[in-house]
Amino acid sequence: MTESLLGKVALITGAGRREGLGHAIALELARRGADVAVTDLVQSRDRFPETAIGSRDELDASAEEIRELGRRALALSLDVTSAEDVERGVESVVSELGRVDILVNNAGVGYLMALATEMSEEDWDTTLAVNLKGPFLCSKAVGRRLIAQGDGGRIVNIASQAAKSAIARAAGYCSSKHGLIGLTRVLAIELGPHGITVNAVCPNHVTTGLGAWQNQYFSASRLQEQDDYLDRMRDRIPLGRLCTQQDVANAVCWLAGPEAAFVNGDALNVTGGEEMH
Amino acid sequence: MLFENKVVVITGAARGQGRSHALGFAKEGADVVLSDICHDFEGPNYEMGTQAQLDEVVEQIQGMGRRAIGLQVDVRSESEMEVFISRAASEFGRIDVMVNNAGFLQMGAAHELTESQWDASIDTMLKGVYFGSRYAALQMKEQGDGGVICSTSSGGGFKGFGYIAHYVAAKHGVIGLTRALAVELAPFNIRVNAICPGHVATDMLSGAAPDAGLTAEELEAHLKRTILLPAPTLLSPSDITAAYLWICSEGARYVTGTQIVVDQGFLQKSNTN
Repeated sequence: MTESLLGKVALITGAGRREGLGHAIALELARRGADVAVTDLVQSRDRFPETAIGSRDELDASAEEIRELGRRALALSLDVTSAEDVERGVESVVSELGRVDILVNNAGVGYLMALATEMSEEDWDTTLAVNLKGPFLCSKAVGRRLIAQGDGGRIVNIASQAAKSAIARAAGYCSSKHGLIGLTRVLAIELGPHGITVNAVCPNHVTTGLGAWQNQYFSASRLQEQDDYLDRMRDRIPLGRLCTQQDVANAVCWLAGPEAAFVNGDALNVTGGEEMH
Repeated sequence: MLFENKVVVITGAARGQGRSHALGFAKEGADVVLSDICHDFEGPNYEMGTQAQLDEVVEQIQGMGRRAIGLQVDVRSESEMEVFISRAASEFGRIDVMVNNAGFLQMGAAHELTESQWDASIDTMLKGVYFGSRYAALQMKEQGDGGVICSTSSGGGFKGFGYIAHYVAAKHGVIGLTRALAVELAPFNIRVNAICPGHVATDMLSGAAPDAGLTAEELEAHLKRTILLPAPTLLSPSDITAAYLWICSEGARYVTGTQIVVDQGFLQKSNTN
């Protein structure tokens, strides 16, 4: 692995939980040479599964792991739905790490699932706020900084297969992730002239970490045993195995690196061939 | 007639596309329940439809021998939408078709948009569509004999365009919502689709032109250059109504979870020119 991101500073949201996508992406960014600011909400919210939010200790441990790789790291508690938090976070990254080159909008809500006819307004609002407004606020703050720096940059949004196709009990989630692709495309147009690329990755279901909650929820809602549910999922994927955090981290780091310089406004499927459009 | 004895609910119907849909469904025999916000609010930089305009549409439809009511409703409010849908059902007995049409356009670079501008667009054109769909679906499930939900997305539901990040995010979101609802509601024979208009000559386009530093005429001239067909004008609301009337009719009984693009070839041309 070449250190293709050497000298770059990356900011990734939702990177607290040890088994989460954000953690895997943060470490891969560091392995490829980037200094990394990791953020998380840190404190839990009502109605979230216990394992949903990274703790302060987990976030600090992630920063420590990045330092052990020989990179600089910064751990920030930050609520992506708060414009004020986001502004302050970006300022901290710039003052502590000197600049920012890469934003990974990873923080997301992958629970609060319900049939659309049963979903509460509160759950809809939370899902849309974290998954869609959060990336808008972070992209706005980092985008301004990147424009001011004047030498380009990268924004990578973690969307989902649910940004391309629908699943039941996920009206808020599908709406937010489809919307995130829309935002990605507009930002790609608006920020392109500044040498900033904006792309999304669309993984299918990662079954570890918080995915374990989804395995349980969706298998139960389909009256399937969990093993049966996962077997069926495997059967739908031409490569015959489930998506891992590392698969997603590799795609994100490629989009964040120099080799993807001419990839812009794309929504890259990372699904082993399950999603093809 | 395609919608004899059917009850059709339409949001944003005081003028523009919503008005055209209301008249179109009524001509095909439907009774209609209409809404509009009927006041200005923070977000759009042009005037919204008025109660007088809404009343005029209602009177015109009543003059055609159909039943019609027009209510002031803010689609962003769950409680107002719940009351709106329940009034539709209680006054006219049932709901057969839900048309989520209400929307507006305001332009600005993504990194300059304020949080309240973002919220106004997402809440009106995505959350409002969710509320309309949700309460219509509950009513249709209770009726037990199917139904149709159709929402207005946009060419911006498929592609990105500069200076309308919130609009595009909302319209992409409508397509996601449409797909999710189609999956969930299919067992109840409730079909869910979206119509994706290109540039329709309404107060929305002319009203938003100044946001781009253009007059309405300049914007129209610019937009005319973006379409494939040698059309003398931009789309008329009736062009969009035609798609609505088909996709909500029995002829489209096996059409769900999809979108019809009515755009004079705009999306294709934007890929090639």
